[in-house]
Parts: sequence; C-alpha cells; structure tokens
Amino acid sequence: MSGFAYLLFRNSSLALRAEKILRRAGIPARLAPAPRQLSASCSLALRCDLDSLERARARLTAAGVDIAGFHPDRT
Amino acid sequence: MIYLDNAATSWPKPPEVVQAMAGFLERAGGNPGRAGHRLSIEAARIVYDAREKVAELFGVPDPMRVAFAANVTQAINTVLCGLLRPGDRVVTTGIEHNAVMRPLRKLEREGIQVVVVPCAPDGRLDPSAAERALAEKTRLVVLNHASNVTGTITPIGEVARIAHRHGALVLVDAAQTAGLLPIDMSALELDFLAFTGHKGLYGPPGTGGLVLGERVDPAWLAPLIRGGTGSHSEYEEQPDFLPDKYESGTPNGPGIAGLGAGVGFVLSRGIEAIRAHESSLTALLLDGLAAIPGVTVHGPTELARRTAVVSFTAGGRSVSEIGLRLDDEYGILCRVGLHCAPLMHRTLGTYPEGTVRVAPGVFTSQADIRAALVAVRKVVSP
Ligand SMILES: Cc1ncc(COP(=O)(O)O)c(C=O)c1O
Repeated sequence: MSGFAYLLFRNSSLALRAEKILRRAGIPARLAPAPRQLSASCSLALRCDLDSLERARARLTAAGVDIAGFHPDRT
Repeated sequence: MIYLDNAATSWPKPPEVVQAMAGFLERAGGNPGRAGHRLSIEAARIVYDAREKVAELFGVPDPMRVAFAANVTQAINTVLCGLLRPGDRVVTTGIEHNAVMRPLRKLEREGIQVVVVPCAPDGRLDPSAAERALAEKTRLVVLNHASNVTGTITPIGEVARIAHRHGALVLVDAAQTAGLLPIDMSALELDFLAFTGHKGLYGPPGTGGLVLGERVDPAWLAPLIRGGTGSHSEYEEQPDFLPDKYESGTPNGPGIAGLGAGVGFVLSRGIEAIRAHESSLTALLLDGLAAIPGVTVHGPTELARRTAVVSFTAGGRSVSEIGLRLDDEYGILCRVGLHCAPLMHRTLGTYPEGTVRVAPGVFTSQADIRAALVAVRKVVSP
C-alpha cells in the first residue's frame, strides 16, 4: 500500500459523493475496493496519493462528508 | 393514438430515459455498492448520480436524505408504518389516494387515531379547517399535493407551517406534482416527501422514493424491510444511517438509471416551462369541455389552483362506455372510474360511478387536445 492512502466511508453513496468533491477540488482520487485489513464495512474506498491525504481529508470535512476512517493514520 | 393517461403513468418517455436504462444493462451491470470492481462502481455511480439529481430537484442539500423505493406507495408506507405508534393521532385530507388511506385504515385498527379533514367539493383544502383538526396533539399530517382525480392543488406550505406550529410532522404525497410544481423541501418546511418516478419525473414504473427533511432524525422512523445494503456487512443489525437504513436489497438499477435521466430531462427543460405547457393544455381542455352540452367538469377552473388532470362526467352516461368508445373509435386513451381514490369521489359527489379522467403530459400537443374534444363531443352527444 505504500505511496497510496485510503479513505473509508460507511457506504458507497458517500464514497461516490467524496470522489466528486475531490475531483471538483482537483485532488486526484479513484474508487477502489477497500483493503480488507482496513475495513469490513463498505466495500468501496477512495484511493489517493499519500501526499494528498491531508488535503483530501480537509476538503471532505469542510464539505460535511463523514469519513469513517483513513489509512495510513498517523494521528 | 392520443395518450391522455399521464396521471396514471407518463408516456412516452424521453429517449434519454430508454437509453439510460439500456446503458445500465449493457455497460454497468454490476451490483451497486456491493463490490469494488468496475462494473459495480459504474452501477453505484449511476445510482448516486440519480440520487443527486433528485436532491437537486427537491432542494435537498444532502443527497443521502434521498432513499429510493419501488414507488410512492412504498415510500408512504415506510413513513406511516415506521413512524406511527398506537395512541398517535394522524390528520389527513379528503383528497387522498388509497396509497395513504389503506395503510391508515390498517393502522387505525391498531390503535392509531385517523382524522380526515373534509375538502370542498372541488377538492380544495381550507387551511383553517386543517388548523382546527390540529387542536389536539397530532404526530403527523399527511397531504396529497394534488388530487389525481381533479388536479386540485393543496396549499402544502401553508398547512406545513400550521402543522409545525402545533408540533406535528408533515408527509407530502407528491405523486402528481413531482416534476410539475416546484417543491423545495426546506422552503416548504416538509419533513417527508414521497415521490413516484414514473409520472411527472418521466422515469420508468417501479421507481420512486422518500426524502427525509433536514429536521428528521432517522431514529424516529423504522424501515419497512431489512436486509443487505452492501455496508456494515459485518453486523447482523440494520444500519442506522442514510440512505442504507431504507434501501435493503439490490436496488432497481436500470429503473434508477432511467429515473435519473427522467429527472435530468425535467431539470433541463425546466419545471416552469413544463408547467406552462401543461397549463395551456388545461385551459384548452377546460374551455372545450365546458362548451359541450351535458358535460360537467369537476375540480377548480382557476389554472393556478390545479394541475393538468381533468375529470368530467356527462349526465347519467356510463363513464366506462365513454372511455371504451374514446379508445375504440378515436384512439384516445384516458382512464375512467374511481382512480384508486374513493374518498375523493365521495368529496366530489361522483361515488361510486366515478369520472372520465383526461391527463395530458409534456409530450401532448394542442392538436391532441382539440382532437380529443371533438371525440368527446361526438361520444356524449345523444
Ligand atoms: C396522489 C397519488 N398517490 C399515490 C399514487 C400511487 O402511485 P404508485 O402506484 O406509483 O405508488 C398515485 C398514482 O397512482 C397518486 O396519484
């Protein structure tokens, strides 16, 4: 998983909403299966560059999208 | 053939609706939200895009508050059966469809008090009569936004404000108005909006949904059915978040694709343009019918107070005979009888025979209406 970060959501609708918001903000991210070790939950995750993770989180939080988890989590 | 039964279901559908449905099956056949592969993602994207379009149409900031259902009937049942408990009181109107009355009559036997506010003979609800009915503590007010028999429009914004002042929640049945009249959930202060996809939204049959207003906590509302959602698969308990709580089971993907395209059609054509077109047809229809000897038109004459659904009777003539002759001899398709709304026909005084209902749509032309008027004149002439 090195080089990539994953954002997890509680359902696929939210993952799709997040993808649109990031695309509009010019932050590259794509929908991908959530790595099993990260989530037993929604099967879809957003994968972005590790460098973009903080920006992506900030943008989604500002847009009111609930992020269920992210990886790598350095907090 | 002239199709004038758009109040039952709109036809034809815009070509983009048919294309979207075929496209879903041809190119996005995965199960939305269940897997991470491209066909599942593509299907989920189509469903999500439709959710966003519906949210845009109804002025809902959060698309997650839109839960798809098989039709407005399922959405209405979700609210009535999921919210009301024995001892609760519910207030509704004299113009409701059986989609509301049947679940309410069942709940009444289970200890829920049902109060029906009578409407005027043309179907109009007097807001002060609604207010009087709300003197006692009430959990929910259920309003048909427009009658499927006479087109009479209910002043939902005004009644919603009254209901909230009395501490009641508001459910609107928008089967006849979604896509035709502006509905802004926040501005109108609606708590629940139930819509069907196959009438004024120009989607296919088997689509519809429920929109939860901003103040509504999903914890108040139990789902009608429970099951797989693609989310929280590790738990055997139903998710408590939106829209999953109300969307168990594989959704109607091709149907929702068509619904999304239908709502896109409405948004791009514009509600005002659609309404203006239908009102001009209604004017022609009302004037033309009024000029035919022996014909009685039911419902309001003022265009601002009605949709394009027009009901008439012709003295003691059998409505089924009129309907049959219009179809057989003139190729004019309309619907006769009680239109699943016996309560409304009691209000009108047309129970049990019912009426002939003529319902033009966005693809109906002035020439279609003129041809229909000529045919009605011939069929009802002695
Ligand atoms: C006012 C009203 N409510 C409910 C319904 C039921 O719609 P559906 O059969 O799509 O659930 C209809 C149409 O048949 C209607 O006109």
